[in-house]
Amino acid sequence: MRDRISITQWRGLKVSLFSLMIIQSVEFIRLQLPFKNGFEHARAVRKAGDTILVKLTTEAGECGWGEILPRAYVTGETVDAILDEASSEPTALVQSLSDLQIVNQTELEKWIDQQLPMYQHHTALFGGIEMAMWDVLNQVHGVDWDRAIGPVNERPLGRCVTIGFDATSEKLRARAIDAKLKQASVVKLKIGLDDDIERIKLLDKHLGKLPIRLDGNGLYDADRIRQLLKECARSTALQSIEQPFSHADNSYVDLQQSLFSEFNIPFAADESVCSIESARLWQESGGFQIYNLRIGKHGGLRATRVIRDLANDNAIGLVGGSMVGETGILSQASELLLSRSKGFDYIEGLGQNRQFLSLDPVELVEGDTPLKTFNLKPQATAELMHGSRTITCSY
Amino acid sequence: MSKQTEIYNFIKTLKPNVPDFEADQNLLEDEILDSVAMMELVLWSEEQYGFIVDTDDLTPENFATLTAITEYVEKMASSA
Repeated sequence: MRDRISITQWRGLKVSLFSLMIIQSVEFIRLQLPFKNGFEHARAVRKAGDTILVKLTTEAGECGWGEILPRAYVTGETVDAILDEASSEPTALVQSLSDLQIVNQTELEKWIDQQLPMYQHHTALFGGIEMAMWDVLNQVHGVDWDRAIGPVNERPLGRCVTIGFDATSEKLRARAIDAKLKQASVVKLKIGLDDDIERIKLLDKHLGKLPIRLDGNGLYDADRIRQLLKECARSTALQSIEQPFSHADNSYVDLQQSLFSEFNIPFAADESVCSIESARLWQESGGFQIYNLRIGKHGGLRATRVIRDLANDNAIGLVGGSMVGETGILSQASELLLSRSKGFDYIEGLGQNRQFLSLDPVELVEGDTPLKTFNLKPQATAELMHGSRTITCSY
Repeated sequence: MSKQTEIYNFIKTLKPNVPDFEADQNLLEDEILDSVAMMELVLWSEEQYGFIVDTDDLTPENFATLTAITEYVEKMASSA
Protein backbone atom coordinates (compact mmCIF):
# COMPACT_ATOMS: atom_id res chain seq x y z
CA MET A 1 0.00 0.00 0.00
CA ARG A 2 1.34 3.38 -1.01
CA ASP A 3 1.83 5.98 1.65
CA ARG A 4 -0.40 8.98 1.31
CA ILE A 5 1.44 12.25 0.96
CA SER A 6 0.37 15.30 2.87
CA ILE A 7 -1.01 18.42 1.19
CA THR A 8 2.17 20.22 2.09
CA GLN A 9 4.29 17.51 0.51
CA TRP A 10 2.09 17.51 -2.60
CA ARG A 11 2.42 21.26 -2.98
CA GLY A 12 6.17 21.00 -2.52
CA LEU A 13 6.28 18.29 -5.17
CA LYS A 14 4.25 20.41 -7.59
CA VAL A 15 6.50 23.37 -6.99
CA SER A 16 9.63 21.37 -7.69
CA LEU A 17 8.22 19.45 -10.65
CA PHE A 18 6.57 22.32 -12.49
CA SER A 19 8.46 25.36 -11.16
CA LEU A 20 5.16 26.50 -9.77
CA MET A 21 4.55 29.85 -8.25
CA ILE A 22 2.32 29.56 -5.24
CA ILE A 23 1.07 32.83 -3.85
CA GLN A 24 1.44 32.96 -0.11
CA SER A 25 0.22 36.41 0.85
CA VAL A 26 -0.56 39.92 -0.29
CA GLU A 27 0.36 42.92 1.81
CA PHE A 28 -1.25 46.30 1.26
CA ILE A 29 1.09 49.05 2.44
CA ARG A 30 -0.38 52.51 2.89
CA LEU A 31 2.00 55.38 2.18
CA GLN A 32 1.40 59.10 2.49
CA LEU A 33 3.61 60.84 -0.03
CA PRO A 34 4.26 64.52 0.64
CA PHE A 35 4.36 66.83 -2.37
CA LYS A 36 7.21 69.31 -2.72
CA ASN A 37 4.61 72.00 -3.34
CA GLY A 38 0.88 71.77 -2.91
CA PHE A 39 -0.94 70.30 -5.90
CA GLU A 40 -4.04 72.21 -6.86
CA HIS A 41 -6.79 69.87 -7.93
CA ALA A 42 -10.22 70.83 -9.20
CA ARG A 43 -11.74 70.89 -5.77
CA ALA A 44 -8.88 71.30 -3.31
CA VAL A 45 -5.18 71.89 -2.78
CA ARG A 46 -3.43 68.69 -1.80
CA LYS A 47 -0.18 68.67 0.12
CA ALA A 48 0.23 64.90 0.11
CA GLY A 49 -1.15 61.93 -1.74
CA ASP A 50 -2.14 58.52 -0.46
CA THR A 51 -1.09 55.42 -2.28
CA ILE A 52 -1.15 51.73 -1.46
CA LEU A 53 1.71 49.52 -2.52
CA VAL A 54 0.87 45.89 -3.09
CA LYS A 55 3.54 43.40 -2.05
CA LEU A 56 2.75 39.92 -3.27
CA THR A 57 4.91 37.14 -1.85
CA THR A 58 5.26 33.59 -3.14
CA GLU A 59 6.04 30.55 -1.06
CA ALA A 60 9.51 30.53 -2.60
CA GLY A 61 10.07 34.06 -1.36
CA GLU A 62 9.78 36.04 -4.59
CA CYS A 63 8.10 39.44 -4.28
CA GLY A 64 5.97 41.17 -6.89
CA TRP A 65 5.01 44.81 -6.54
CA GLY A 66 1.90 46.62 -7.63
CA GLU A 67 0.28 49.92 -6.75
CA ILE A 68 -3.24 51.04 -5.97
CA LEU A 69 -4.04 54.71 -6.26
CA PRO A 70 -7.56 54.91 -4.88
CA ARG A 71 -9.24 58.18 -5.77
CA ALA A 72 -12.87 58.49 -4.73
CA TYR A 73 -13.54 61.05 -7.48
CA VAL A 74 -12.17 58.70 -10.15
CA THR A 75 -13.08 55.06 -9.42
CA GLY A 76 -15.04 55.60 -6.22
CA GLU A 77 -12.50 53.64 -4.19
CA THR A 78 -10.82 54.90 -1.03
CA VAL A 79 -7.67 54.00 0.84
CA ASP A 80 -9.60 53.38 4.03
CA ALA A 81 -12.02 51.00 2.35
CA ILE A 82 -9.25 48.89 0.87
CA LEU A 83 -7.37 48.69 4.17
CA ASP A 84 -10.49 48.06 6.25
CA GLU A 85 -10.22 44.52 7.59
CA ALA A 86 -13.95 44.16 7.11
CA SER A 87 -13.93 45.01 3.40
CA SER A 88 -14.53 41.85 1.44
CA GLU A 89 -13.27 42.72 -2.04
CA PRO A 90 -9.53 42.63 -1.26
CA THR A 91 -9.97 39.38 0.65
CA ALA A 92 -11.99 37.74 -2.10
CA LEU A 93 -9.58 38.86 -4.79
CA VAL A 94 -6.52 37.63 -2.91
CA GLN A 95 -8.22 34.34 -2.13
CA SER A 96 -8.98 33.85 -5.80
CA LEU A 97 -5.20 33.65 -6.33
CA SER A 98 -5.32 30.40 -4.35
CA ASP A 99 -7.20 28.86 -7.26
CA LEU A 100 -4.32 29.49 -9.62
CA GLN A 101 -2.89 26.01 -9.81
CA ILE A 102 -0.31 26.78 -12.47
CA VAL A 103 0.89 30.34 -12.84
CA ASN A 104 2.05 30.95 -16.35
CA GLN A 105 1.08 33.75 -18.71
CA THR A 106 -1.93 31.92 -20.12
CA GLU A 107 -3.26 31.05 -16.70
CA LEU A 108 -2.70 34.56 -15.39
CA GLU A 109 -4.57 36.02 -18.35
CA LYS A 110 -7.37 33.54 -17.76
CA TRP A 111 -7.53 34.49 -14.08
CA ILE A 112 -7.71 38.21 -15.02
CA ASP A 113 -10.47 37.60 -17.55
CA GLN A 114 -12.48 35.58 -15.04
CA GLN A 115 -12.06 37.91 -12.08
CA LEU A 116 -12.03 41.38 -13.62
CA PRO A 117 -15.77 41.53 -14.48
CA MET A 118 -16.51 41.13 -10.77
CA TYR A 119 -14.36 44.15 -9.92
CA GLN A 120 -15.72 46.74 -12.36
CA HIS A 121 -16.21 49.11 -9.42
CA HIS A 122 -12.87 48.24 -7.81
CA THR A 123 -10.57 48.73 -10.75
CA ALA A 124 -7.78 50.44 -8.80
CA LEU A 125 -7.67 47.52 -6.35
CA PHE A 126 -7.73 44.96 -9.14
CA GLY A 127 -5.04 46.76 -11.12
CA GLY A 128 -2.69 46.85 -8.12
CA ILE A 129 -2.88 43.11 -7.56
CA GLU A 130 -2.76 42.34 -11.27
CA MET A 131 0.40 44.41 -11.62
CA ALA A 132 2.06 42.56 -8.73
CA MET A 133 1.16 39.27 -10.43
CA TRP A 134 2.74 40.39 -13.70
CA ASP A 135 5.83 41.47 -11.79
CA VAL A 136 6.32 38.19 -9.98
CA LEU A 137 5.50 36.13 -13.09
CA ASN A 138 8.00 38.19 -15.05
CA GLN A 139 10.67 37.45 -12.45
CA VAL A 140 9.95 33.74 -12.14
CA HIS A 141 9.04 32.63 -15.65
CA GLY A 142 9.30 35.71 -17.87
CA VAL A 143 6.47 37.25 -19.86
CA ASP A 144 5.94 37.52 -23.60
CA TRP A 145 5.18 41.24 -23.61
CA ASP A 146 4.48 41.33 -27.33
CA ARG A 147 1.62 38.96 -26.65
CA ALA A 148 0.57 40.57 -23.37
CA ILE A 149 0.26 44.16 -24.54
CA GLY A 150 1.67 44.41 -28.04
CA PRO A 151 4.95 44.97 -29.87
CA VAL A 152 7.18 47.97 -29.23
CA ASN A 153 6.06 51.03 -31.11
CA GLU A 154 9.14 52.88 -32.31
CA ARG A 155 7.30 56.13 -33.00
CA PRO A 156 8.40 58.77 -30.52
CA LEU A 157 5.64 60.20 -28.37
CA GLY A 158 5.12 63.89 -27.84
CA ARG A 159 4.84 65.52 -24.47
CA CYS A 160 1.84 67.13 -22.81
CA VAL A 161 2.47 69.79 -20.16
CA THR A 162 -0.36 70.55 -17.73
CA ILE A 163 -1.20 74.04 -16.53
CA GLY A 164 -3.32 74.02 -13.40
CA PHE A 165 -5.71 76.32 -11.61
CA ASP A 166 -2.83 78.11 -9.93
CA ALA A 167 -2.00 79.67 -13.30
CA THR A 168 -4.06 82.82 -13.15
CA SER A 169 -4.03 85.18 -16.13
CA GLU A 170 -0.91 86.92 -14.81
CA LYS A 171 1.02 83.67 -14.59
CA LEU A 172 -0.01 82.21 -17.92
CA ARG A 173 2.83 83.68 -19.91
CA ALA A 174 5.44 82.20 -17.59
CA ARG A 175 3.70 78.83 -17.80
CA ALA A 176 3.57 79.06 -21.57
CA ILE A 177 7.32 79.73 -21.61
CA ASP A 178 7.82 76.75 -19.33
CA ALA A 179 5.79 74.52 -21.69
CA LYS A 180 7.78 75.72 -24.70
CA LEU A 181 11.06 75.09 -22.90
CA LYS A 182 9.90 71.58 -22.08
CA GLN A 183 9.27 71.13 -25.80
CA ALA A 184 5.64 70.27 -25.21
CA SER A 185 3.69 69.15 -28.24
CA VAL A 186 0.42 70.02 -26.52
CA VAL A 187 -0.62 71.91 -23.38
CA LYS A 188 -3.43 70.84 -21.09
CA LEU A 189 -5.19 73.66 -19.26
CA LYS A 190 -7.37 72.96 -16.24
CA ILE A 191 -10.59 74.95 -16.48
CA GLY A 192 -13.34 75.68 -14.00
CA LEU A 193 -12.61 79.30 -13.10
CA ASP A 194 -14.80 82.31 -13.83
CA ASP A 195 -12.36 83.74 -16.37
CA ASP A 196 -11.68 80.52 -18.29
CA ILE A 197 -12.38 82.02 -21.71
CA GLU A 198 -9.96 84.87 -21.07
CA ARG A 199 -7.35 82.37 -19.81
CA ILE A 200 -7.73 80.20 -22.91
CA LYS A 201 -7.37 83.15 -25.28
CA LEU A 202 -4.39 84.49 -23.39
CA LEU A 203 -2.67 81.14 -23.28
CA ASP A 204 -3.32 80.64 -26.97
CA LYS A 205 -1.67 83.98 -27.67
CA HIS A 206 1.40 83.02 -25.64
CA LEU A 207 1.70 79.53 -27.07
CA GLY A 208 1.54 80.47 -30.70
CA LYS A 209 0.32 77.45 -32.64
CA LEU A 210 0.76 74.90 -29.86
CA PRO A 211 -2.49 72.95 -29.40
CA ILE A 212 -4.46 73.35 -26.17
CA ARG A 213 -6.45 70.64 -24.45
CA LEU A 214 -8.94 71.68 -21.81
CA ASP A 215 -9.69 69.62 -18.72
CA GLY A 216 -13.07 70.46 -17.23
CA ASN A 217 -12.99 68.00 -14.32
CA GLY A 218 -16.78 67.88 -14.41
CA LEU A 219 -17.13 71.52 -13.40
CA TYR A 220 -19.07 72.73 -16.44
CA ASP A 221 -22.71 72.82 -17.47
CA ALA A 222 -24.32 72.91 -20.90
CA ASP A 223 -24.61 76.69 -21.24
CA ARG A 224 -21.05 77.39 -20.15
CA ILE A 225 -19.49 74.81 -22.44
CA ARG A 226 -21.48 76.08 -25.43
CA GLN A 227 -20.38 79.62 -24.69
CA LEU A 228 -16.77 78.53 -24.34
CA LEU A 229 -16.87 76.67 -27.65
CA LYS A 230 -18.47 79.63 -29.42
CA GLU A 231 -15.71 81.90 -28.18
CA CYS A 232 -12.72 79.60 -28.56
CA ALA A 233 -13.35 76.70 -30.96
CA ARG A 234 -12.41 78.59 -34.09
CA SER A 235 -10.28 81.42 -32.78
CA THR A 236 -7.77 79.37 -30.75
CA ALA A 237 -5.74 76.18 -31.20
CA LEU A 238 -8.24 74.27 -29.07
CA GLN A 239 -7.74 70.55 -29.61
CA SER A 240 -10.14 68.80 -27.22
CA ILE A 241 -12.18 69.15 -24.05
CA GLU A 242 -11.85 66.52 -21.36
CA GLN A 243 -14.67 65.57 -19.04
CA PRO A 244 -16.53 68.89 -18.98
CA PHE A 245 -19.51 67.33 -17.22
CA SER A 246 -19.74 65.19 -14.12
CA HIS A 247 -19.08 61.53 -14.80
CA ALA A 248 -22.01 60.71 -12.55
CA ASP A 249 -24.37 62.29 -15.08
CA ASN A 250 -24.82 60.41 -18.35
CA SER A 251 -27.50 62.73 -19.66
CA TYR A 252 -24.95 64.75 -21.61
CA VAL A 253 -24.38 62.13 -24.35
CA ASP A 254 -26.62 63.81 -26.92
CA LEU A 255 -25.32 67.28 -26.06
CA GLN A 256 -21.69 66.22 -26.46
CA GLN A 257 -22.46 64.59 -29.80
CA SER A 258 -24.28 67.70 -30.98
CA LEU A 259 -21.50 70.05 -29.83
CA PHE A 260 -18.91 67.86 -31.52
CA SER A 261 -20.89 68.02 -34.77
CA GLU A 262 -21.23 71.78 -34.50
CA PHE A 263 -17.71 72.76 -33.41
CA ASN A 264 -15.58 69.73 -34.36
CA ILE A 265 -13.82 69.78 -30.99
CA PRO A 266 -13.69 66.22 -29.61
CA PHE A 267 -14.66 65.34 -26.06
CA ALA A 268 -12.27 63.23 -24.02
CA ALA A 269 -13.41 60.87 -21.27
CA ASP A 270 -11.48 60.69 -18.04
CA GLU A 271 -13.53 59.66 -15.01
CA SER A 272 -16.38 58.49 -17.27
CA VAL A 273 -14.27 55.64 -18.57
CA CYS A 274 -12.72 53.57 -15.79
CA SER A 275 -13.85 50.02 -16.44
CA ILE A 276 -13.98 48.01 -19.66
CA GLU A 277 -17.75 47.98 -19.23
CA SER A 278 -17.96 51.78 -19.19
CA ALA A 279 -15.58 52.02 -22.17
CA ARG A 280 -17.92 49.78 -24.16
CA LEU A 281 -21.01 51.71 -23.10
CA TRP A 282 -19.50 55.04 -24.14
CA GLN A 283 -18.24 53.57 -27.40
CA GLU A 284 -21.78 52.44 -28.21
CA SER A 285 -23.30 55.78 -27.25
CA GLY A 286 -20.68 57.81 -29.09
CA GLY A 287 -20.53 60.45 -26.38
CA PHE A 288 -16.74 60.71 -26.33
CA GLN A 289 -14.29 60.85 -29.21
CA ILE A 290 -11.16 60.36 -27.04
CA TYR A 291 -10.39 58.14 -24.06
CA ASN A 292 -7.85 59.20 -21.46
CA LEU A 293 -6.16 55.99 -20.33
CA ARG A 294 -4.53 55.42 -16.95
CA ILE A 295 -3.50 51.96 -15.85
CA GLY A 296 -4.26 52.91 -12.26
CA LYS A 297 -7.95 53.47 -12.95
CA HIS A 298 -8.78 50.74 -15.49
CA GLY A 299 -7.91 47.56 -13.62
CA GLY A 300 -4.33 47.03 -14.69
CA LEU A 301 -2.33 46.33 -17.81
CA ARG A 302 -4.65 43.83 -19.45
CA ALA A 303 -7.79 45.89 -18.89
CA THR A 304 -6.09 49.01 -20.21
CA ARG A 305 -4.97 47.05 -23.24
CA VAL A 306 -8.56 45.94 -23.87
CA ILE A 307 -9.82 49.53 -23.67
CA ARG A 308 -6.96 50.71 -25.89
CA ASP A 309 -7.81 48.08 -28.51
CA LEU A 310 -11.50 48.91 -28.30
CA ALA A 311 -10.65 52.56 -28.94
CA ASN A 312 -8.31 51.73 -31.83
CA ASP A 313 -10.92 49.50 -33.44
CA ASN A 314 -13.59 52.19 -33.22
CA ALA A 315 -11.61 55.27 -34.26
CA ILE A 316 -11.64 56.67 -30.74
CA GLY A 317 -8.58 58.79 -30.01
CA LEU A 318 -6.30 58.09 -27.07
CA VAL A 319 -4.29 60.06 -24.59
CA GLY A 320 -2.39 58.49 -21.74
CA GLY A 321 0.07 59.03 -18.99
CA SER A 322 0.40 58.99 -15.25
CA MET A 323 -1.72 60.01 -12.26
CA VAL A 324 -0.65 62.65 -9.80
CA GLY A 325 0.94 61.07 -6.74
CA GLU A 326 1.75 57.69 -8.21
CA THR A 327 5.13 56.10 -7.52
CA GLY A 328 7.62 54.64 -9.98
CA ILE A 329 5.71 51.34 -9.94
CA LEU A 330 2.63 52.69 -11.72
CA SER A 331 4.67 55.08 -13.84
CA GLN A 332 6.87 52.40 -15.33
CA ALA A 333 3.85 50.19 -16.05
CA SER A 334 2.32 53.14 -17.91
CA GLU A 335 5.52 53.68 -19.85
CA LEU A 336 5.59 50.00 -20.75
CA LEU A 337 2.05 50.10 -22.08
CA LEU A 338 2.45 53.37 -23.96
CA SER A 339 5.69 52.23 -25.56
CA ARG A 340 3.80 49.25 -26.95
CA SER A 341 0.67 51.02 -28.11
CA LYS A 342 -0.64 52.72 -31.19
CA GLY A 343 -3.02 55.63 -31.17
CA PHE A 344 -1.22 57.84 -28.66
CA ASP A 345 0.24 61.08 -29.93
CA TYR A 346 1.73 62.23 -26.67
CA ILE A 347 2.30 61.33 -23.05
CA GLU A 348 0.68 63.26 -20.28
CA GLY A 349 2.44 63.76 -17.00
CA LEU A 350 4.99 60.96 -17.19
CA GLY A 351 7.88 62.02 -15.03
CA GLN A 352 5.74 64.68 -13.35
CA ASN A 353 5.80 62.80 -10.08
CA ARG A 354 9.56 63.15 -9.88
CA GLN A 355 8.82 66.86 -9.61
CA PHE A 356 5.80 66.53 -7.35
CA LEU A 357 6.95 63.96 -4.81
CA SER A 358 9.38 64.86 -2.08
CA LEU A 359 10.48 61.23 -2.07
CA ASP A 360 9.67 58.42 -4.47
CA PRO A 361 9.31 55.54 -1.97
CA VAL A 362 10.50 52.84 -4.34
CA GLU A 363 13.80 52.14 -6.02
CA LEU A 364 14.32 50.30 -9.26
CA VAL A 365 15.99 46.90 -9.22
CA GLU A 366 18.36 46.64 -12.15
CA GLY A 367 17.20 44.19 -14.76
CA ASP A 368 16.93 43.79 -18.50
CA THR A 369 13.25 42.87 -18.87
CA PRO A 370 10.70 45.41 -20.11
CA LEU A 371 8.85 45.37 -16.78
CA LYS A 372 11.19 46.35 -13.97
CA THR A 373 10.74 45.38 -10.37
CA PHE A 374 11.18 47.60 -7.35
CA ASN A 375 12.16 47.62 -3.70
CA LEU A 376 10.58 49.76 -1.03
CA LYS A 377 13.16 52.20 0.29
CA PRO A 378 13.84 51.76 4.04
CA GLN A 379 13.39 55.51 4.46
CA ALA A 380 9.88 55.23 3.01
CA THR A 381 8.97 52.43 5.39
CA ALA A 382 10.19 54.49 8.32
CA GLU A 383 8.76 57.86 7.37
CA LEU A 384 5.84 57.43 4.99
CA MET A 385 4.10 54.22 6.02
CA HIS A 386 0.69 54.73 7.62
CA GLY A 387 -0.68 51.27 8.14
CA SER A 388 -0.87 48.00 6.30
CA ARG A 389 -3.05 44.96 5.85
CA THR A 390 -1.89 41.47 5.04
CA ILE A 391 -4.12 38.80 3.55
CA THR A 392 -2.79 35.26 3.52
CA CYS A 393 -3.92 32.86 0.82
CA SER A 394 -5.63 29.80 2.18
CA TYR A 395 -5.11 26.49 0.41
CA MET B 1 30.36 94.15 -17.51
CA SER B 2 29.45 92.28 -20.69
CA LYS B 3 25.97 90.83 -21.19
CA GLN B 4 27.47 87.34 -21.20
CA THR B 5 28.98 87.92 -17.75
CA GLU B 6 25.74 89.39 -16.46
CA ILE B 7 23.78 86.37 -17.68
CA TYR B 8 26.39 84.00 -16.29
CA ASN B 9 26.22 85.71 -12.92
CA PHE B 10 22.43 85.54 -12.91
CA ILE B 11 22.57 81.80 -13.62
CA LYS B 12 24.96 81.38 -10.71
CA THR B 13 22.53 83.33 -8.54
CA LEU B 14 19.69 81.07 -9.65
CA LYS B 15 21.70 77.90 -9.11
CA PRO B 16 24.51 78.66 -6.67
CA ASN B 17 25.47 75.01 -6.35
CA VAL B 18 26.17 74.31 -10.00
CA PRO B 19 29.87 74.06 -10.84
CA ASP B 20 31.46 76.59 -13.16
CA PHE B 21 30.49 75.93 -16.76
CA GLU B 22 31.65 76.85 -20.24
CA ALA B 23 29.78 79.23 -22.52
CA ASP B 24 29.10 76.51 -25.08
CA GLN B 25 27.81 73.92 -22.62
CA ASN B 26 24.19 72.88 -23.07
CA LEU B 27 22.41 74.32 -20.06
CA LEU B 28 19.48 71.92 -19.98
CA GLU B 29 21.14 68.73 -21.22
CA ASP B 30 24.09 69.19 -18.85
CA GLU B 31 21.60 69.87 -16.05
CA ILE B 32 23.02 73.27 -15.24
CA LEU B 33 19.47 74.61 -15.38
CA ASP B 34 16.09 72.92 -15.22
CA SER B 35 13.17 74.29 -17.19
CA VAL B 36 11.86 76.29 -14.22
CA ALA B 37 15.20 78.05 -13.82
CA MET B 38 15.38 78.57 -17.57
CA MET B 39 11.96 80.20 -17.43
CA GLU B 40 13.18 82.52 -14.69
CA LEU B 41 16.19 83.36 -16.82
CA VAL B 42 13.93 84.24 -19.76
CA LEU B 43 11.75 86.49 -17.60
CA TRP B 44 14.81 88.12 -16.02
CA SER B 45 16.34 88.78 -19.46
CA GLU B 46 13.16 90.56 -20.56
CA GLU B 47 13.17 92.78 -17.53
CA GLN B 48 16.91 93.36 -17.54
CA TYR B 49 17.29 94.20 -21.23
CA GLY B 50 13.87 95.63 -22.05
CA PHE B 51 12.39 93.33 -24.68
CA ILE B 52 9.71 90.65 -24.87
CA VAL B 53 10.62 87.11 -25.84
CA ASP B 54 8.29 85.68 -28.44
CA THR B 55 7.54 82.15 -27.22
CA ASP B 56 8.25 80.89 -30.73
CA ASP B 57 11.84 82.01 -30.12
CA LEU B 58 12.21 79.54 -27.24
CA THR B 59 14.29 77.15 -29.28
CA PRO B 60 17.62 75.40 -28.63
CA GLU B 61 19.20 77.74 -31.20
CA ASN B 62 18.43 80.69 -28.94
CA PHE B 63 18.56 79.19 -25.46
CA ALA B 64 20.69 76.02 -25.41
CA THR B 65 23.95 77.64 -24.28
CA LEU B 66 25.21 80.80 -22.64
CA THR B 67 26.67 81.86 -25.98
CA ALA B 68 23.32 81.35 -27.75
CA ILE B 69 21.40 83.24 -25.07
CA THR B 70 23.87 86.14 -25.16
CA GLU B 71 23.64 86.42 -28.95
CA TYR B 72 19.84 86.30 -28.78
CA VAL B 73 19.70 88.89 -25.99
CA GLU B 74 22.07 91.22 -27.84
CA LYS B 75 20.02 90.93 -31.01
CA MET B 76 16.73 91.56 -29.22
CA ALA B 77 18.07 94.37 -27.02
CA SER B 78 19.47 96.22 -30.03
CA SER B 79 16.14 96.09 -31.85
CA ALA B 80 14.02 96.94 -28.79
